Amino acid sequence: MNWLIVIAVFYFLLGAILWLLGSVIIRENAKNRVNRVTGLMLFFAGLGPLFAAIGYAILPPGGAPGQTPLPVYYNLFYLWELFFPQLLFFSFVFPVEHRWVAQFRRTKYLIFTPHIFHLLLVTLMTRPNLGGLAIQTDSPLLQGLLTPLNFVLNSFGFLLSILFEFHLKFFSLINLLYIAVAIWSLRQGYKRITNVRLKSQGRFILGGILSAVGLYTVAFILPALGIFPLAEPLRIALAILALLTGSIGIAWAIVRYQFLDVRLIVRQSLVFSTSSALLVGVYLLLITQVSAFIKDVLEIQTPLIDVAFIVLVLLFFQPVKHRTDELIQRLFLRDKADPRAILESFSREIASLFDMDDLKKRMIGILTEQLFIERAFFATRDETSKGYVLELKGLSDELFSGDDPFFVMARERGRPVAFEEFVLDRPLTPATEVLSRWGCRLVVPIIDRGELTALLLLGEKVSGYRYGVEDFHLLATLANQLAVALTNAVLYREALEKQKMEEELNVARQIQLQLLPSVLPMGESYRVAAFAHPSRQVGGDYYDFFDLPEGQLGIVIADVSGKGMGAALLVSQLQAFLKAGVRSRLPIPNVMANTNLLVHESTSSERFATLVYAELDPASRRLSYSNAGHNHPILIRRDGQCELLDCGGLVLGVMPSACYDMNHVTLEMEDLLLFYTDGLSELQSPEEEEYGEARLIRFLKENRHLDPEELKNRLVREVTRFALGAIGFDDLTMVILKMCDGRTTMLSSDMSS
Amino acid sequence: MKLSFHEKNGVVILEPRGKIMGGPDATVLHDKLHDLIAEKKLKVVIDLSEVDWMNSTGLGILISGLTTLRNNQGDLKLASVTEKIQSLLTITKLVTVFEAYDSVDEAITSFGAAARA
Repeated sequence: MNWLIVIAVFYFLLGAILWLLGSVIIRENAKNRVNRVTGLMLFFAGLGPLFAAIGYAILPPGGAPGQTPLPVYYNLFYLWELFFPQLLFFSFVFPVEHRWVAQFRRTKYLIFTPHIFHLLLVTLMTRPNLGGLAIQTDSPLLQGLLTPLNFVLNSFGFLLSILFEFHLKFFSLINLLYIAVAIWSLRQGYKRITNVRLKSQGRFILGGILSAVGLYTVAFILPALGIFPLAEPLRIALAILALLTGSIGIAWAIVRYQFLDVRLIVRQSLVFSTSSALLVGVYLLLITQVSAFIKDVLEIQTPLIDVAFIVLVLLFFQPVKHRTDELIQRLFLRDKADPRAILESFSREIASLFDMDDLKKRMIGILTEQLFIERAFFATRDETSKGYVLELKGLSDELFSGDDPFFVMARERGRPVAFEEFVLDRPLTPATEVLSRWGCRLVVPIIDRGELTALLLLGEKVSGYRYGVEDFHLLATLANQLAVALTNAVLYREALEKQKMEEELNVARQIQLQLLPSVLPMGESYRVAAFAHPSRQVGGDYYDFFDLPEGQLGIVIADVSGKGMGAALLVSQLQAFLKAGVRSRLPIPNVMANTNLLVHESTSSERFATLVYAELDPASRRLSYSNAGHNHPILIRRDGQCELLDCGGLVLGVMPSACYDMNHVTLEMEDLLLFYTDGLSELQSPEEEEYGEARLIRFLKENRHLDPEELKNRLVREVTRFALGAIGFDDLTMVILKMCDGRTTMLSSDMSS
Repeated sequence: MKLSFHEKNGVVILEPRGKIMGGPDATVLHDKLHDLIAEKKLKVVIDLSEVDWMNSTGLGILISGLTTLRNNQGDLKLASVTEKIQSLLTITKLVTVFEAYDSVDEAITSFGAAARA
């Protein structure tokens, strides 16, 4: 045992540590670029000590490192120098990718060119004898000709050898340049970091690389420039130390500050390594045992059997190894969830969940129980303020502006994003400040038709792991499903509200219909027809008849402003007020004034009613009426003369002190009186032309000979034709009164029955 | 309905355009009127020259604006009332309640006259 072997083992261990670190970092998340770049960088760094170890191992006893019998080893040795371009690359993507890296998608790999050229040079031309380029010949004639050519060739060869020597000496300068740029780039990134945790990580890396550069400069660059010559073994040792401080600084920073639980990673790696080693051991044991068995029993010994057996065993090795990995993760680490099972169960459940809160609760349940996430919360869009409400359990909900850069960026990204990315090189916003205090690790935007409807905010995993690439995929899929489910929930809620509104309208319609008289009054000297077509939205039209003492008839037609339940309720109040007044047999102006006051007191300022109240005394054929701002009833005399009943006062419910006038008209035989609401006169044709009062008067004049029922039917047909069937936007109500003598009434009644 | 407004001589002039009907856009006018009252801007003129039509809900908004303003010692006046709206005001007898002027300027001046009186 000599000391060279000890050094070789030491170097080998250093190389192995670097490789292990590299593989752990890549393993943590192979899809993460920083991890890949760092892993590869550590791999190249590890090559250095490994080759040095081999160098010492194969060195002939007593020889110096330069005298190795294997030139190939020396050539490959330079492979490790790819570490420098890789370091530069690393400085571009850590801690955050520089913006221009994305722009130079392919060209960025050009930074490897000098080193690849260098590698090719040292591999193909092992210190070439360039002086031997000159062509030798015996012929004096040719010699004469060749002398100038040989001179050129010799000079060229000389130049080349100088270049080569220069290159060998000064290639270190290129490495130094790379290091300088890498440090500059890392410093730039470091300055932009605002996050404290990342700041310390960056400090580790900068420190590690600075010490590495210092050592490397002392070991190689200064001696190469002839300033500070050192013995070969010392230089190599210094170089390796440099590599170690640099790489370990980087690795430590990443392990310490980027992974959440170092012990867990180490434990996992240990379990994997041990189980792999155990498997290999068992296989090797099997091979030797079986091979010995074959030799003993069959008494044949051929390498073919060994080879066949190894092939066979290798075929089984991979699946068994894979299974063991899975088993360890499931039993020991409890981190891996089965994404397919989660997706299936979630899709099944959301199909039956229509309530927004149930959905959210279930989603959080799945995340915490099956993905082993400690805490998960929703931030949902608040439609009125266009902001987002953070629904922290047990805490008061916080509302953030929708313009907060956090929400803007989440919508732009559209996929699950590590929370770090929101705070790395950006100032804190109100939202990110609260979320970083709360310990948010992952942000899952839920986007529906380009709108950020909600955000799923996830805390740490129970295991302490970072979110891996499978988690990102799974959460992206869940977010899509959830977006659909949330939209469905919104639609469902809207449908419910609509249904409720429909129900309310139905009740309003019922109220309105119940307020209308079920039977028409019959008198010996008059006949009455009535029509009411409530609109879809249920307006506030109302008509009624009151049987008064001494055979008198009270007629009322009214239109309450507004639509829906409110209008229906005001109609029912109006009816009550009016009935009370009419029953007390007060003069009509007083009934109107009282009703006005009651409507004013019992409604809001923008509600009012128009109303005509008339009392017909059949004996005297006198009609007394008062019109409170209603469409003027149209009186068509037997001879076609037209009068409008406009006497009265202001609409009801506007001025508490309003006064109302009363007027009388005496109705003759065959006189026709139409009470109507604006739904009739304001009915529009498809060209938006109104039917209007004038047209109505003309129609009544032309058809005044008809009996009320028939007139009503014709009028309804007429206006329906005018509106091309488009009635129903407003209530359409009318009451027709026609005077006749008793016998004619009986006759027409007989005829119609 | 679209609503614009400006102020002149301490009088706020509202200029609705289109139809003043029920529904969400009528609430704009309603809210504006009540905002003005909250801001203690109590002299309001509504320029109706660009209003084609108004239903009972629209009329209700004007009435409510008028009564609230008057209860706060303010007033609401109408200007450039179109024929159709005029007939509506006539039928409902609201002409007796609203002060209506042929032009916005006349309506504004009427406030001044009232103040001087």
